[in-house]
Amino acid sequence: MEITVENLNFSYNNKKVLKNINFKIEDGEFVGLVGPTGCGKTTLAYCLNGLIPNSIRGKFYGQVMINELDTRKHKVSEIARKVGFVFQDPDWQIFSLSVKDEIEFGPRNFGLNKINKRIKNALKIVGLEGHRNEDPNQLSQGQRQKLCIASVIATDPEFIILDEPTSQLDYKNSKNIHDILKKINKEGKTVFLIEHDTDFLAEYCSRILVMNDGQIIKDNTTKKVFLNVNLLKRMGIKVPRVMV
Amino acid sequence: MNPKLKLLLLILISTSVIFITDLLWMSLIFLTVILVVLLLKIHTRLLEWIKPILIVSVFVIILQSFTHTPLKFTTEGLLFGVVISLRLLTLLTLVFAFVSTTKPRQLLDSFSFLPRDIGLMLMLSLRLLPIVKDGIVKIMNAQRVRGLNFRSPNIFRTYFPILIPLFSKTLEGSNRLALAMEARGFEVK
Repeated sequence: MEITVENLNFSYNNKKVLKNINFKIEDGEFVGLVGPTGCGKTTLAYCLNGLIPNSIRGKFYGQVMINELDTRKHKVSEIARKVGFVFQDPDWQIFSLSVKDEIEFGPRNFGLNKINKRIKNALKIVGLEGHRNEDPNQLSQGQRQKLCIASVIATDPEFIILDEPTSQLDYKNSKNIHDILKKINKEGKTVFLIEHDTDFLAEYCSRILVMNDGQIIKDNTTKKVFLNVNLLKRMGIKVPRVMV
Repeated sequence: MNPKLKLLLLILISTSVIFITDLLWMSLIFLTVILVVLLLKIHTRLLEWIKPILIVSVFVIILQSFTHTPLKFTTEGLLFGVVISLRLLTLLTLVFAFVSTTKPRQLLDSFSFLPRDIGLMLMLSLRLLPIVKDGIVKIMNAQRVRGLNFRSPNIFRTYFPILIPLFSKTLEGSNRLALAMEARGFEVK
C-alpha cells in the first residue's frame, strides 16, 4: 500500500496551515515526521486518514491518495479500515470499561470476524496479555498508550499513523512503545510516526520528513537528514546523540 | 440483583410514588425505602447526599402551608407539603440506593436494551465524568497557586477562571474523542 500526497494545501480560520505538500510513502516504510511545535504536523496526519477534509472543515486543495482511494471522496470510516491512527493523549481515546471492550470497538465497527483472536493477538503484540479484563482507568499511562496501539492493531490496518504517542511517557515506556512499532513494521505494516525525540527517530526510522511552517523542507533518509546539523539547529530540533 | 430488574423496579416505584397523594401510603413507602437503605448500610452516605434536599423539603412544606389557601395557614396545605417533600425524598433515596449498589459496569449493562448509539452516549457521559472532575481539581489548583481566593464574595471573579478553561478543555477533549472514535470506524447512523 502506498500513500501519495500531491500539492496539499489546507487553510483553517483563514490561516494557511499546510502549504504545497508533496511526498509519497511506500509500502513497509517506517517514516518519521519532525518539526517545531505548531508547524502543522498533526494537521498533516489528519489529512492522511481523511479526518481532513471529511470531519474537520477548512479550505482543502490538492490530493491525498491511499492506494486508489481519494480521501476527499470516501468516508473516514472507510479510510480508517486501511489507515489506523493513534492520538497523543490516551485519556481522550479510551472510553470502554475493560481493555477487551476497548480493543473490540474498532473491529466491531468494521464488522470484522474472529474478534477474540484479534484481541488476543493485539494484546500479545503490545504486552498486555494479563490485563484483558481490567478497567483501562487502572492502567498506567504507558499501558494506556499501549492499549490505544492495540486497539488500532486489532483492526489490522496496512498503515499506522502515530501522533507523538510517547510525549507523556518516561524513557523506558517510550522505548517500549518504539520497540512495539518496530515489531509492527517488521510484520509488514507501514508506520508514520510524529515524534519530537530525534534519538528515537534516528534509531527506528528509515526515512525522515522535516516540517516547518506548514511545509516539508526536507525529505530524505534518516542519516542524511540528521547529518544536516545546521538545518536541525535552525529549526530548533535536537541533534540526535548518535550524530553528535 | 440483576441490574435490569433493579432499573425496572426503580422506574415502577418512582412512577407510583409520583401518583400517590395519600399521606399514609406515602409515609409507608418512604419508611420502607429508608429501611432498605439501612439494611444496605449506605445510610451515612445518604445523609451527606440528601442534606441540601432536606432544607428544600422544609421550604416546600412551609410554602405549601401558606399557599394552599393564599396567605393563610391551612392543615391541608401542611399535609400536602409533607406529601410533596416525602415524594421528593423517596425519589432521591431510590436513585441514591440504585446508583450506590450498582457498579458502573452494571449500570451500563442496565442500559443495554437501548439503541447502540444512545447506550454509547450514556456510557461516554458516565465515563468522562472522572476526567472532567480531575480537570476541575487541576484547574482549581492552578488558579489557587496564582492567588485566586475561593472565598471572595464576587462569584464571577472566583468561578470564571475555573469555568472558562474547564469548558474549553472539555470541548476540546470531546472533539478529540469524537475524532478518535471516527478514526476507528465509528459513525452515527
